[in-house]
Amino acid sequence: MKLPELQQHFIASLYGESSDIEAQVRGDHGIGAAGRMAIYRYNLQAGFGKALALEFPVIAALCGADYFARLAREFQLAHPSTSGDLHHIGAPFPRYLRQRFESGDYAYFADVAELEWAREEAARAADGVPFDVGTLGTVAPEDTPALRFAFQPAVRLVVSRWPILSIWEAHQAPGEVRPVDPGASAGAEHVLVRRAATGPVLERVGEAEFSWLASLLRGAPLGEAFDAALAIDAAFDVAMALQRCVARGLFRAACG
Amino acid sequence: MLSRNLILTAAIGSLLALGAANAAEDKGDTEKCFGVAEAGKNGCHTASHGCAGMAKTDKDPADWAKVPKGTCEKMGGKLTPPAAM
Repeated sequence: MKLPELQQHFIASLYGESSDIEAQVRGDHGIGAAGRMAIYRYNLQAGFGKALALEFPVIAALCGADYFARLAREFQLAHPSTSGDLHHIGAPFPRYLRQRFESGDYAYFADVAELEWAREEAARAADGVPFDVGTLGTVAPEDTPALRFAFQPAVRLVVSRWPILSIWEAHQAPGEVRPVDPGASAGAEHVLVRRAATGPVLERVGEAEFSWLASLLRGAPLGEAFDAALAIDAAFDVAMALQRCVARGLFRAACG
Repeated sequence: MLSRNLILTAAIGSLLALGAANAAEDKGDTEKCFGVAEAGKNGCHTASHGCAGMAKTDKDPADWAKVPKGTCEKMGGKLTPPAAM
């Protein structure tokens, strides 16, 4: 058997497919070939499951350890790690949960997972250059509505028709989980995820502010973002919203 | 339309007036703090493992996390790594 072929068989066996790898592995010192492959397979699963639980602790808590381990195994078969760095394995997990729990009582899992992944990304995003507010001094008044902002790499927005941030917050104090009704009646939540000096920060924002931030984040000009927010809340205070953006350190640069 | 543009120009103007004071939040100095990182949440690279996220135990004294300056020792961490074994 050639090396590439041997490797294919080895991988197939690790992911539970039948292969004749065991005939190729010498196992004459105590543990047989099948046993050796089983140890390898178990370590692959356990390492993946633990890394996934570190990235999605709230989903892991909502599922319970046994169910989460099974879910992680299913997910691993569908999306095996393509990198030696297990930090990346969670990227397709929210989408996977969305298909898996499409319309049942657990459909909200996907949105909670999306929030947890946004938090992971915010934790690991590159440091951006701090925004120099002084650069705004050179913008002519007639050019103000066309102004666009580049955001810090850690900024994310997550919206759900479920109270995802309330659910996330309920799991932060160990030992005292306050039950949160995931029912649609409990209301939608709009969440801004960013990184402060102390680490990722998750904040609830209003619908108008969310729309304003989403427009700017997508690269829309200031005037368009203002109009989008006004369409939701006619009393939207753009001066305050801009100040909050700067105070929260969301911007990296402004371009005219 | 004209009033919208005036509102936006005024909003940018107020940013310029206030901005310098507000922009400081995220510039806070940080320090490397050893012995406080939760398992899997450590910053990069220690002598016992290669890279970020591989710490296997909580509060391993050889792992570090970035924390705001002055808070490390209050959390029970140390500013220096333990001596090599």
